[in-house]
Amino acid sequence: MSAETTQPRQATASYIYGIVRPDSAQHLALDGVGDPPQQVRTVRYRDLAALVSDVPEDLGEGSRRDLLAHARTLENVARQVTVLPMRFAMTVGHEQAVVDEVLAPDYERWDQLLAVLHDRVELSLKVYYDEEEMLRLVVAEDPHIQRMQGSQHLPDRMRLGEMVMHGLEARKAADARHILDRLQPFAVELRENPPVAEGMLLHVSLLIARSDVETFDAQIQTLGEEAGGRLRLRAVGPLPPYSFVAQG
Amino acid sequence: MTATSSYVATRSASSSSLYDVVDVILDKGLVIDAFVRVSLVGIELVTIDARIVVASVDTYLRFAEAVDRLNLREQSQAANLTDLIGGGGGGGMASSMVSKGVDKVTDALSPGDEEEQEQSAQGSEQGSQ
Repeated sequence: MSAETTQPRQATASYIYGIVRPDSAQHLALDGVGDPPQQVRTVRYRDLAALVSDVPEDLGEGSRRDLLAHARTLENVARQVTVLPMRFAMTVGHEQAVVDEVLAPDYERWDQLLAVLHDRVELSLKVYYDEEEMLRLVVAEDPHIQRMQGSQHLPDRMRLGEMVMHGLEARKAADARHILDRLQPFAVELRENPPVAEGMLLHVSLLIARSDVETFDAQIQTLGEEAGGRLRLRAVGPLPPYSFVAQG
Repeated sequence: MTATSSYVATRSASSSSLYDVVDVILDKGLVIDAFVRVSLVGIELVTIDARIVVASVDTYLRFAEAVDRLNLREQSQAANLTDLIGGGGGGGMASSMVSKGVDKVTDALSPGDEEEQEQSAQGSEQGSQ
């Protein structure tokens, strides 16, 4: 629970998951990284607590299993309390260093971030589009395209293709803007990430109040229904505010 | 309507797979540079590896959907297909079907060629109404 430092054992380092308020983390019982997974505990400094677990000094290569364990541990915490998530694989040499080198030197920063992010969570939203449905709409909305459809004349076909392509881009942009407009009002912050795959219209991280998660659900449900099958919205969360703790 | 909408918009409470985790957490979160003790080489590997997983899953899902649509369309075009295979000479039925499938998937993925496909899609729909 507290930082009563055991002798820094040579073979053990402290893996840091994140920072919370100590009183909020009293009843968390979590398994962390490692094989077998090590129990997560807190190391306190003033009104901060770092969530840590023991790892071998030489952790070797980060593994998938550890990456997942890191993510799940933090998700479990975030579901209950506000947490500042560390990036994967933040490790210090021994438990006292958690206080001396992480919590104490940047106390103000952690304290402020915890205040700002209090009761806020991150939701990750990916929106995919169905290209055929999109094209159907592009054709339906443009009499020009309809007239040129079916022409066998090469220059006409080029022109047609060009119009369809631009129509598709415009439609995608409009859909993306519409979604952002609808999410913006209750997002404390909204960050667009680059789409990671073809067929992805939008990839955003939202910071929202914990109490707005249901509003968010209703909103994406409505957006999905309105799009009539041409969009698919897939969200994950509540997550720790990974995208909203960065420096600067 | 309900069944459709729940498919169209979903939220999962936790990242259930590596695929979900990766683009949510990699490169994100607090960094205290001096304290990264895990071999960076290892992290790079996990990152690259995981990025490939993300790209693949999305791409594969896309192909799977494209093929689903293909199947529907091919059923309605079964007669034409038989003609085509007959004309293919020594190619063999299976390989003809595969190459036709590949062409169609390629079509479905390249916006520039889409109008042709769009027409045939509309054609077959009208036919079935």
